Amino acid sequence: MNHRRPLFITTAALIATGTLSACGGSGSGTTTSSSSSSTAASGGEQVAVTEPWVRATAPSATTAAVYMMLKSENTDALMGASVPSTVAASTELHETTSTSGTSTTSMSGGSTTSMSHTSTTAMLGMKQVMSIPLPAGKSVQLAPGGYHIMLMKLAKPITSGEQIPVTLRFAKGKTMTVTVVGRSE
Amino acid sequence: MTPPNADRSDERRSSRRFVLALLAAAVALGAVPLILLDMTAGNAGTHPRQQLYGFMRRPPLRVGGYSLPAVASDGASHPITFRASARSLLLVYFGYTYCPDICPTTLANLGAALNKLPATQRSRISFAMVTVDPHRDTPVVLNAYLRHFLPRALALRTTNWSALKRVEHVFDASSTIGPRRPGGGYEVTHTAEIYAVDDSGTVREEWVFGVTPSELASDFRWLLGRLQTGTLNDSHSPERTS
Repeated sequence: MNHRRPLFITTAALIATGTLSACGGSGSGTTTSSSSSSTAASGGEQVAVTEPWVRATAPSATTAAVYMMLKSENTDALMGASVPSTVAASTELHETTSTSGTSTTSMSGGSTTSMSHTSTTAMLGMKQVMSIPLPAGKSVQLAPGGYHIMLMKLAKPITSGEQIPVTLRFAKGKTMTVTVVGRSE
Repeated sequence: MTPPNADRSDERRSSRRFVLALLAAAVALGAVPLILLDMTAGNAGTHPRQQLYGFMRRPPLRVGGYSLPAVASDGASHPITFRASARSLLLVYFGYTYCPDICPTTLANLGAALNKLPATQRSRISFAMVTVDPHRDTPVVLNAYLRHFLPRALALRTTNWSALKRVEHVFDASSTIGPRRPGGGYEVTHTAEIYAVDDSGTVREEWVFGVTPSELASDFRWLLGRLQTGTLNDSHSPERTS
C-alpha cells in the first residue's frame, strides 16, 4: 500500500504560499493578516499559520471545524480561538480520537437498553482539549480526523468562499487573527 | 493561494494513523484488507494488479434482511431494506449532523468520489445515512444536512433505540451518546465506515475514515464492473431473512 502515499510528502512546500506569522508581543497585541500573505515576525517568536480553512456547512448544520497548519519557532501552544458572534456562538479546541469499538448504548438523560455489542472496527469520537501543543520548529496539523477548532452554534451556514476572521490565542497571551476560507470539499 | 490538492493531502496525512490503526484492528478481528489481485477482466497484461482501498470481511456481513425508515422532511417515511437494486450498490454510513469533523469529511469525500464517476455508473449507486443521534437529527435537519452533500441521499432515522442498535449490530457498527455537557449538548462516538451493499444484501466492501475520493471512485468502478458481469466472487448464498 505504500506506493499510494508518497505524492503528498511535498505538500508542506506547496502550501507555503499561504503562510502567516504571528508576532510575539504584549498580551493585547493582535496581528491581522489574510490567508494569502506572509508576515515576518519580530521579537524572535513567531507562529506560522498555513492554509486556514473551514468546510462549508449544510443549511441545518450547527457546528463546523476549522483546520490549518501551525508551526512555531519556539515552544508554544494554541490555547483557544474566537470568532465573531455573527459566525458562531462559541468555539472549542477538539481532537478526534479513535477507540476500540465497544458499544454501551447509553442514552443521555434517560433510558438504556440491554442490547450492546462490540464492534470490530474502531469508534471515532471527539474530546475537548485545553490546548494544542506546538513543539518548537515542528508543524502541527489541524486537519480532518485530528485536531480542529470546533465552531459551535453557527449563526448561519458557512458558504464556500466565505472569509471568516478567527482569532487564535496562544500561550503567554499573544493573539493573532487569521482569515479562514470556506471550502465545499 | 491554495494548491489544488492541498486539502486532500492534509486529510490524508492526518488520517493515515487512523487508517493504519483501523485496518490493524480489522485484520486482528477477522476482516481482510482488500489488496486483491485482479487477474481477470482482460486487463491482466497491462494492469495485473487491481488495488482496492477498502476491506472485505470473511464471511461477509449479511444485512439484506433488515430495514429502517427513510424519512422525508415532512416526517413521512417508508422502510428501506439494506439491499441495492440489481447490479447496483447501496452505500450505508452511520453518522449524525452535529458531527463537525468526521461526518462532513466523509460525506464530502463521498460526494466528490461519486462526481468522478460517469453518470451511468453514478446512477447505480445510492447512499443512505443512518443517524445515530435521532433526537437532534429531526427529519428536517437530517434531510437538509444530507442534501448539502448528496442530493439523492436517503435519510434513515428511527427513534426506536432497539431497532437502531439491531441494525448497528448487523453492520458491526456501534455508537454511543455521552452524558450531557455543562454547556449543553452531548458528545457522540461512532464507527465511521462506509459500507457497500450489493443487490443480495451482502456488504461487499468497507472503507474506513480517511479514504480519499479518488480511492473510493476507483473501488466503486471495480465493484460496479464486477456486479455488471456477475464476477464478484461470493461463495455464500444470499441471506434473505432476518
